[in-house]
Amino acid sequence: MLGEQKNSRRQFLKQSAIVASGSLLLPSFLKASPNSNTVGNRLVVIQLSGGNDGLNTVIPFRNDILIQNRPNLLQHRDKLLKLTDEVALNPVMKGLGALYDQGDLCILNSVGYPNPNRSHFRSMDIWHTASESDEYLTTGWLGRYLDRECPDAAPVTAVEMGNVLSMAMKGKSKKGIPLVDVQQFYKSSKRINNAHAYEGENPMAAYLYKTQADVKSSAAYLFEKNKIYKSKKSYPDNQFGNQLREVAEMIISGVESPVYYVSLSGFDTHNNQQGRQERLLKIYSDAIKVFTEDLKAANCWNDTLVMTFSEFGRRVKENGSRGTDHGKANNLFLMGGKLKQQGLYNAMPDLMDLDSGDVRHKIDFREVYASILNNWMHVDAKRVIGKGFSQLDFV
Amino acid sequence: MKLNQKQIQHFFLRAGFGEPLEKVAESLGKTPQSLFEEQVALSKKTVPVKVESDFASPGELKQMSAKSRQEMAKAGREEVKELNIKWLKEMASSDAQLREKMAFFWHDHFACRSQNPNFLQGYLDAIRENALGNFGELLRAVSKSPAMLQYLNNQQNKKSSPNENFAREVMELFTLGRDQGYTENDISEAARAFTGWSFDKKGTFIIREKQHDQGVKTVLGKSGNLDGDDVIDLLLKNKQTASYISQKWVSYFMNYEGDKKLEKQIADELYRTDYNILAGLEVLFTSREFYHDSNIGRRIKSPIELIASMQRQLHVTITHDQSLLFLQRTLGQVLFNPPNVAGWCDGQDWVDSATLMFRMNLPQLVFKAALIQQQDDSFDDNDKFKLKGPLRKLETIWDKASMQKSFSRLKPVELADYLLQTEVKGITSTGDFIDQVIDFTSKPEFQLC
Repeated sequence: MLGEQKNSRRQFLKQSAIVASGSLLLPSFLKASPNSNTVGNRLVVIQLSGGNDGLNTVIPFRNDILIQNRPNLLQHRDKLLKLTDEVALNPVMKGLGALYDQGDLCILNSVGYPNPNRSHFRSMDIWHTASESDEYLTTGWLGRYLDRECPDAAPVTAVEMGNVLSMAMKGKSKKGIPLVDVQQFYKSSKRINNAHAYEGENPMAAYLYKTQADVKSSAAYLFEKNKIYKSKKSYPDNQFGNQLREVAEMIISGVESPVYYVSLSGFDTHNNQQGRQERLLKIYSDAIKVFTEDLKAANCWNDTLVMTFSEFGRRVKENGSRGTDHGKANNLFLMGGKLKQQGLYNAMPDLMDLDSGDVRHKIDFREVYASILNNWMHVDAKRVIGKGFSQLDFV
Repeated sequence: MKLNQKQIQHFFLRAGFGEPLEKVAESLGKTPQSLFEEQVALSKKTVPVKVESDFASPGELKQMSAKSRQEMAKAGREEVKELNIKWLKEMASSDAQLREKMAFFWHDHFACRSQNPNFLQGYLDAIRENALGNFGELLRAVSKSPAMLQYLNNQQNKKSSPNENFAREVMELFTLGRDQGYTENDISEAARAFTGWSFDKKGTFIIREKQHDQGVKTVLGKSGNLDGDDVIDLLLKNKQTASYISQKWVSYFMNYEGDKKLEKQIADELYRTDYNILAGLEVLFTSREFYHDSNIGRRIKSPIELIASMQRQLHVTITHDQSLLFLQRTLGQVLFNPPNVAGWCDGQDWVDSATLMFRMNLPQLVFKAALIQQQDDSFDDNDKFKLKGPLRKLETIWDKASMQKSFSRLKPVELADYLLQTEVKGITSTGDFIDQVIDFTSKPEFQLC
């Protein structure tokens, strides 16, 4: 009886640690040639969660209104990384500055949507689903892209780094795969011990068995494929750095995922913003620099587009605790080797014309999505987003 | 109709969070009517789920410095977590299963979030106390709760500048259902009727007369100087509200696809009894359709259902609070944190590659934690088997004696019959009953109820 005897307890624990993994048959797609990139262009989305203060990221440092409204937050001019006579990057973002200099960065200003919502959850939902601000959709824009474009036999759908799948990556029939790292994902997938196909008549059980089979085969695919390239670059030693390294390794190894999704959180800086935001911006900027170098060296930069967004920007006027409160429109970054427009895509936010103290949107984020879908991913954006948006000209 | 074991389990899992095998055995051969009535009797009282909170009133908050407000917010977040955990534990341990299950349903129906623990307490009291009462009273109680008024921005709904959010959701989500017989104009007019619905400095519902629009409004064809209660009356008088509630019940408790005929019967009864919730539920849970084979084992347990029912069925209690929160987050459903006003997406949406793997490993983890805690120190290689990561402190109380009593004499097929609601072919299992329990609960079919 379990629990009665030391030996059987030990037996149980050992068993539960391994749980009869069984031998994994190598799926047939792995036997095919390993290096064929059939996916074409790929998209890497980086989400800055919490509402990054864009005005303290790309800073219109000579703007009088900003100077008046930010007596405590504005950086000293000498320290700033100047992009133009008027605009500078936050001094911690040397990596991003290098990308700017090399023509690998395009900055879109005042990106948002009509009737903006200042709730983190709601605004993030709106960005994820590409909905109107009073519309509730249950699928994400990338998930709907997968629904349309991802073949049933694809070895992976799309990859998200992390424990939980974002709404953006949920489609009706296809979903992205969240994983903390490929090794771990493979190890836990081996613990699943119901490898046979479902033979009953219960459609829900059939769905679970299918998902399980997909997990097992995706995990095996990623694990095998990912052995091809191990990065020797030194990524910053933090979670975000490790995640970008994983993504780079997958891309360079030829993993056929059209989309990767990575998040960095903590940008909700209501108090003592400077130290907190700079720590995060540095993590972001340092990691993205190594990531870019990695991809460039492997000839993967030209078919990669990186988009960085946050659910909203922050109020122009700083609050009483050296922080900023939730705002509206924000800047958005695009990076890649094939940008049609580099540097600043449009004018800096018009601080004379604010929307109750917040930056007013000039570009609808769905125009950005639509342009990426049409011009980069080569699908009909209207069918993914649900309606037409005008095209921007960055790719 | 005399119910067999599967059907009894079906009732317990759908109308509650499952029951131990002994309870199932006791109920063998009962009729749907007697099963339902017993559950109603057990659910008569509402046991309080309360968190003592010193959270500042809205008036006090306004007076505070930014720093104190931040500290208050932090304390508030902890109290919201506490309320979450207390309620989840109540679901897992209470005899009033029908009440807790219905309250959980209403939490989804009247989806709401708040950072103010007192507001949330009021909202939770409203849905638990009225869970089996009258839908009209429930609707009014929730609509007047500061949590909901704040969540749907009715504080900003003033005569001079109406905010339509509240009025829209009352129609779209709470009563008639999306695109069901109302126009955009009805929403604008109803919003005017709700102007002034607010809460005072102490956090008590009030109607701010100065902000209330006294003019004539026309809502759903009826004109007059309507106020919020008048609009709610109109919505209740509209039979579509009964139909919408009944539709949601059938898809939630019986099958995702719905059943037109049964939905109509339930709606008729709800409407005839002036929205007596129990009268409507009785039609559902005593119907032949509910117990039909094709409705058994076809629902994916929601994360909360999984966490609560696993404990009830397997004689384990998860006592570590942080772990209970971690489980909710990882599985994708956190009480008091629905994704948006429309509530959670039910069904296949619960499962993606990560959540499925986690779900299938969960019973093992729970037993492993229980075993590790019960070990004596002489068990020398403890470290090797320690749980790692966020669940390393997972504390469980495992009632081994009860489990042994329940399961040890069962044949594998009998055990599978209890744990799995859908048929699994070729059940064979060696090892003792614990191995078998682990084996069966790690099957995809265990995710279904």
